[in-house]
Amino acid sequence: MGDNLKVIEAENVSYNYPDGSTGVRDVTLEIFEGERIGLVGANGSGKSTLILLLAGLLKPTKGNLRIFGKEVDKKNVEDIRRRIGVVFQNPDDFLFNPTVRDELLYVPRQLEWGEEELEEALRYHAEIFRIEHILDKPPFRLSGGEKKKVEIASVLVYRPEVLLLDEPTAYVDGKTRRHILKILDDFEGTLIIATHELDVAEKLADKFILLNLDHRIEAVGGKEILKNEELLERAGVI
Amino acid sequence: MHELLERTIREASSYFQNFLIHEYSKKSALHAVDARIKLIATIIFVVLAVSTFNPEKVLLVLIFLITISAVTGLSLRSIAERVWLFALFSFIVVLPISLSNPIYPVTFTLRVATSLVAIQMLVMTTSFAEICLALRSFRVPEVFVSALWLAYRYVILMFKELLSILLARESRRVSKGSHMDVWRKGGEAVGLFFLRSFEKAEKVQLAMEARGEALSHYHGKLKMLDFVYATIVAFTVFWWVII
Repeated sequence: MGDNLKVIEAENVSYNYPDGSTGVRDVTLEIFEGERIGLVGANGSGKSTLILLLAGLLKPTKGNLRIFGKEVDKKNVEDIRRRIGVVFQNPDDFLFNPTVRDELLYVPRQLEWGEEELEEALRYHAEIFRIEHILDKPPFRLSGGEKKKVEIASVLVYRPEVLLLDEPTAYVDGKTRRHILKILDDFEGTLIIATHELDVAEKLADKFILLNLDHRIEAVGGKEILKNEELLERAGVI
Repeated sequence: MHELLERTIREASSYFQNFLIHEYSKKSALHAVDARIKLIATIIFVVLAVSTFNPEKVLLVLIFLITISAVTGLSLRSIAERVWLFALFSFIVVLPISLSNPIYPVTFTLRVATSLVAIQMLVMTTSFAEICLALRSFRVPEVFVSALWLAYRYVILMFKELLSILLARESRRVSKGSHMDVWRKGGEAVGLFFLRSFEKAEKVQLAMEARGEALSHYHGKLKMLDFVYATIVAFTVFWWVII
């Protein structure tokens, strides 16, 4: 990857949930600045777990994980959170503020942006996501598509360097789906998108990591992976 | 301070949720034993543990339970992970009594730990639906079993909601903020947690109504394995009486 900075590095990372079930097994990968990664796999292959691990929200039960060259600890966790944005699969699990406005400004207020900057960020993101009319509504009362847009907007608003998305087009209709894909396509940082929808992965990513049903990496490569039916079938994607 | 509090709530939620969820990833021979037999056995083990202050008797039951778990392939580590916190808590609670009766805190903790191990052997190897059906087969009133089933569903949901709110906050916590901010945001989160739990509970109620919430009757005949397990329980009782 030339001189590009290594953003995330996982070495034999495994994660087991407290009930004993496996999240991911022996994952080794490197993600460089500016890469657009599609994390592809069947339901239950460990995509969501891997997204939470790569975001530093889960601690591996085995192996080493470095984000921006460091293991996540108390000292650097806030810096990592500011530089990495993560969008959960289910917006109901993500949105917790009383109004959409508070949701969008949750991180900028922590970063102590000035009033003018806050208003400008709010106006800009409300406009591009077409959510101006719901800014004062409680997020849990919105439709599925609106929730998803608010969720993504509340992460993009603080301009993270790395964007991790777990099934960003789940719960949305065709029109909202196209709208979200267009916005994500315009994102200029490092993008890691977990999805089982191959067309979404193909549109947004140029490098792919295929997870199999044994929760391991089956293959890493370019778009040829998405054309390899035998490989996809073996991984349970088709 | 607030980070410690938030982390404690998260760990506690995860612990309690895990305590109630039955183990489904690793099958053991105990999984195959009839739920009715396991339920009776659990009640017997708990009664044996709590009806004596003789530490030898309690220890005997605990050793039997650990042996049964080990032989049937149940993870002792998983049991220990689910039990240690309650056992430690009970020890701390009764510790002041050690001034007048030094052995009491040990006996009390042993009784608690033994009862919890017995309960975990049931919870880890039996789904809650099976436990409810077993209760119904013993003619426990339907209203009681239904209430138990609903409480179980909602407790799990409540912890799931709490964990998801804490994880979402964690994913976007980029600065410590002032104490005032933390308490204000914390208050809002608590309010939202109750609202979301309430909404989710309503949805679950609708889903249960849509698919029928009545528990059906228990089916299945007792097998050789069930008689073997019943014999082991009887053997434990025998030793508990003569010791």
